[in-house]
Amino acid sequence: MRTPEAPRSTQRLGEFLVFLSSVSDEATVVRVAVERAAIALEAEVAVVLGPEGVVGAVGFAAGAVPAAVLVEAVLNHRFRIRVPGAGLCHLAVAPMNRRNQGYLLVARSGVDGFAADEVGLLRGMARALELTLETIRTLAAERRLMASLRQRQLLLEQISNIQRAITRRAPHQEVLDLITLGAHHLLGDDVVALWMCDPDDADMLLLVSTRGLETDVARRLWRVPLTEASVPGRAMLTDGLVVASPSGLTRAGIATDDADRIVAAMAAPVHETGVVVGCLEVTSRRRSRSYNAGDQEILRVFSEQVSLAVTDARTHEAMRRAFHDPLTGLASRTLFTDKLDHALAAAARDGTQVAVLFVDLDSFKIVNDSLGHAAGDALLIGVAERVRSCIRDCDVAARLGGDEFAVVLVDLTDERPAARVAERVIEAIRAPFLIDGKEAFVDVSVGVAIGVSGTMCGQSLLGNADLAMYQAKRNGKGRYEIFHPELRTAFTSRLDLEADLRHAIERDQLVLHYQPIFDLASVEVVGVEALLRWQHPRRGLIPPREFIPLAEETRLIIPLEVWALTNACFQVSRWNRQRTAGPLTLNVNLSVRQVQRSDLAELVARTLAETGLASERLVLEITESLFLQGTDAILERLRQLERLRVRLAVDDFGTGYSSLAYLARLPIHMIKIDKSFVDDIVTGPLARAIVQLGRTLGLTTLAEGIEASDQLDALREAGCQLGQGFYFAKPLAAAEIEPMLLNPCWSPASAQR
Amino acid sequence: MAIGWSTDIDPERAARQALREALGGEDPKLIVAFCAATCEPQAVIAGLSPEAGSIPLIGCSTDSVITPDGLTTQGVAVVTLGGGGLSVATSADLVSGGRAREAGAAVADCVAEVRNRRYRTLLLLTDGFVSEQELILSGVYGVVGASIPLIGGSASPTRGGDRTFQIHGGESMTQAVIGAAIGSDAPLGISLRHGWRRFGEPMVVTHSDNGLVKTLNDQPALSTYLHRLGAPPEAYEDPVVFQAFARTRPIGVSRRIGEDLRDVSSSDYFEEGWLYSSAEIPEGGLVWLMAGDTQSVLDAAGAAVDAAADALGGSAPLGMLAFDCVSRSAILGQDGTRREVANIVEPGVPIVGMYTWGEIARTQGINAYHNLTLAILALG
Repeated sequence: MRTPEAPRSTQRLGEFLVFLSSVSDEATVVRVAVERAAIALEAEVAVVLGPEGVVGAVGFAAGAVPAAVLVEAVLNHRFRIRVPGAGLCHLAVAPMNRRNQGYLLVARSGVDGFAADEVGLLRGMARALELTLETIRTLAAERRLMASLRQRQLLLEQISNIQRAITRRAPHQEVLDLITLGAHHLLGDDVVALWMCDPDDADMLLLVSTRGLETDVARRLWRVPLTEASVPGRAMLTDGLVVASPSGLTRAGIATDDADRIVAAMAAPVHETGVVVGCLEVTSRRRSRSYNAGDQEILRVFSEQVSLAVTDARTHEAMRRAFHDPLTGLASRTLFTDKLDHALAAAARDGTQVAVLFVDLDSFKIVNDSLGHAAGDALLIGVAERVRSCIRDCDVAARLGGDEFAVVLVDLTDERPAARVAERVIEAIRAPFLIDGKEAFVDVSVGVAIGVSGTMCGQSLLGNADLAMYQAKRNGKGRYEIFHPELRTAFTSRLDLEADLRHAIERDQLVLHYQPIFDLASVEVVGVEALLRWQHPRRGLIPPREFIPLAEETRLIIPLEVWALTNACFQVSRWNRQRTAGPLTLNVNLSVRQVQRSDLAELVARTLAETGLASERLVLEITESLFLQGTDAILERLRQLERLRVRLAVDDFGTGYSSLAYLARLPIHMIKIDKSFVDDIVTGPLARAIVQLGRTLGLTTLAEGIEASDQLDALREAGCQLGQGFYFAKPLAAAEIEPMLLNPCWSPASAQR
Repeated sequence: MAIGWSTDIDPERAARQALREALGGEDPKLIVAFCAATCEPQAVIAGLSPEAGSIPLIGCSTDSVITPDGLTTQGVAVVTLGGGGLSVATSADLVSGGRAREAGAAVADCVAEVRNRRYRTLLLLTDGFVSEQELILSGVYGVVGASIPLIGGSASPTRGGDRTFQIHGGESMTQAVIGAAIGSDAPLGISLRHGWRRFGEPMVVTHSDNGLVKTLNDQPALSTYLHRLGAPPEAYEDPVVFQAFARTRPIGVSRRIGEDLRDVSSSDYFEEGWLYSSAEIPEGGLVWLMAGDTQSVLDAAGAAVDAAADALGGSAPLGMLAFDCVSRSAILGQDGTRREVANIVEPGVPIVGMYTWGEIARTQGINAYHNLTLAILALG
């Protein structure tokens, strides 16, 4: 344990110093000093005396400090004074400087006088006060000195202005003008000029910014040969600051025709990423003007600012290129993602919403293929312009690649504005584009996704919009869809289904069901239609309407149909060998994609050969949509099949492409009357008309979906030859239908019994 | 000097009754009202103003009012000072906005109006919720110096309450300093006593900033303090236990004439391990642990009254004003507090007073702000 009294004075002195250092003006320092001295020494009175009398005091009533008494007491080394209110007090005095021009004194009532350590403390305080006052006086002198450095402060201000302009991406010219203005203002010279190398000719200088130069002179000097600009030329060639006095001035860059009046000139080079690309020049006509080190420093600083601005502008341009699609000028995917993330962060902060529109051209490939890539590019530029015209300045449009565009809409409160923008985009792009004098039409599908505040990243929002766009395409193109979570569920489910479907054949999950086809006149089975079913291990039997569209989209339809064709042919061939009645025909469905394959005829021929089914027993059912393709290649493919003696049927006749022309042009043998017409045959005329049409064209007619005897009667009466439907039998597995096909005594009536 | 008091539940009625009683004295020149903090200030003013007329009126709220009947947390006690040999001037100013020193100085100016009287004092009523009490008093001292003694206290709220009020004239105020300069031809006696005594070795305040003590003997202040006192473990961990423990264990700042008590029971800096006092604990100074018990505190009350009476230089006291620290009752308990008041009340001497959040008394030196102390003004 330290002795209690030893640190007391020392630490109290430290405390005294802390209080003094917390104030900065002389009057307050004195007031604090007398107060703290009185407190530390528990005195009623504390006074600072200076050469002129009392500088500060505490303990006397305001305006009643007995200055003369105090001075007299100090000079005569009195140990006691009388203090009003406190009576006769002990006095302690400490000189404040070596010349004894000031004193700190304290007076305290009571019996005891001041102890030695207390007097020591008082001396320390006096010394501390003296030092503090000296420091404050020195600082005041320095402040006066600082005024002379105001020039430097001005320089800093000017530079700060320039930096702010660069930072806020002020136009490049504005930044350069700010620099010449700043230099002009600070140096106070007549002319400041910024010269930059002509990008088309490195030997020429362009006057890009000037201050103080007469307009007509500036116009004449806008472009001068580097070699003729002596001061700037030398600064650039030597890559250093050049100062020219009158004697050294031959021609200054800005004074080729004004050399006589120029008194002094100096120039400093400007760099872009380390390479000299120009210079900043000042000239003066002021008599006896010369440039000292300070002036040169200022010019150097300003030329560095130009270098910074130029480099920054180039960097910015490079960045702009990196972040923008070079063809359309729209934001690139990178910039788009960045902006989207920022927009989401801002929305989370402001409690607003963000929408992403995923815009995909529906038939860009046709334009590109038919009109060429240049036209395709022109179309993309046109689309970009129209997309941009549909959004506000605060929104962002981007080209993600190919024919995909995206838009971020910010500051939304709900999805309605996003839907309106989607409609506008669709409408805007639907109008014809004039490309190379030709009109081109494209549609877009738009997916809209709304960013829920704070719960979503940009990528997933874009993904949602993509999914909604995909749904829009599925729903018919030229439209928009708004993302909702069920879409993702459906999409995921579809992906799972697709994955399962890819393995369905190898895992032996596909089965064929057969629906008998009857001769309506004799009511005998004359054929079967093979129908594909998928026995999913978890989902059970999946009907074709659920997996065939998926198979068509993913091109899995091709192996599925090959499998179905092969197995059905094999099965019917086997039945035909076992049947005592006439051989059955086999109807098998072929998708558009299957018909598009060039080796279709070979495939069918090979299958017939391998399975032993007679070719004339095979009926391939195609849909009306095939005729939309209408190409010669498809026509030829169908003819190849005809040459194999395979027959072709049009499935679901009358529900799709309503042109009769193809019936005459194509090698069609049979038309299948869609169930919707059969349903109405008793009351409506359409089915009868189709039967009549078939008869007229010499085509076999087959009615689908017969469910009642009156329908059968009506069809029979109309002259329809064949029919199938639940009235006779539903599609059945091979084993189930086999008795019907192999038993010569079987009839629908016997089956119903 | 005359006093009156009422514990009527209606503050307006209580104020009116108390003042009517107190106005019985000779030529009243000043009315001082000590009002239970439970009173609505406007109601108190409504009760006082009509009766007071042009007589200067000051007052403030208090946790408990001291009357000759004992303590009450309800009602109003009033003292009137008057007579031919008395001059009074009052003043008030707001402290808020960093004006503590200026407000103190402004209020102290009123002393000039009683300069012709032989005996003078400045009675000050501050707001206990203002943390810059010493700065106010520095402002006051800067004007009056050692020329006159100071007396008074800080307005307190009800126990656990958050509202104080002060009264000047017909106006209710907060965050103010109110002064009444009293000049008298008869002596005025001021005394202060606390009844705690130092024990153990002193500690050096090695790091402090105004009232915030960070280290004692170069060790963390709060734990050093608790360790030296042999505090239970809970006091180191639970701020509530700490507060209860520290409330009756002030530290004493070493003075030439004894120890100034500092209540360090605030838990505002408990987390940081520092001690906090509303009054300054200077760095480099010595502090002592202080011990007090019921008897020593009770004895101090009696001694304070005696000292104030003695300071009258042989004159018999006409009456007394008491400013007693709220925290003293923590060590005294309910019964002890009753006994303390009984000790204060001298038979035949009218006395009223208040429980304060800081006591003001200066007769010597420069320091005028105290904790855990009983300050008495005796009028001769």
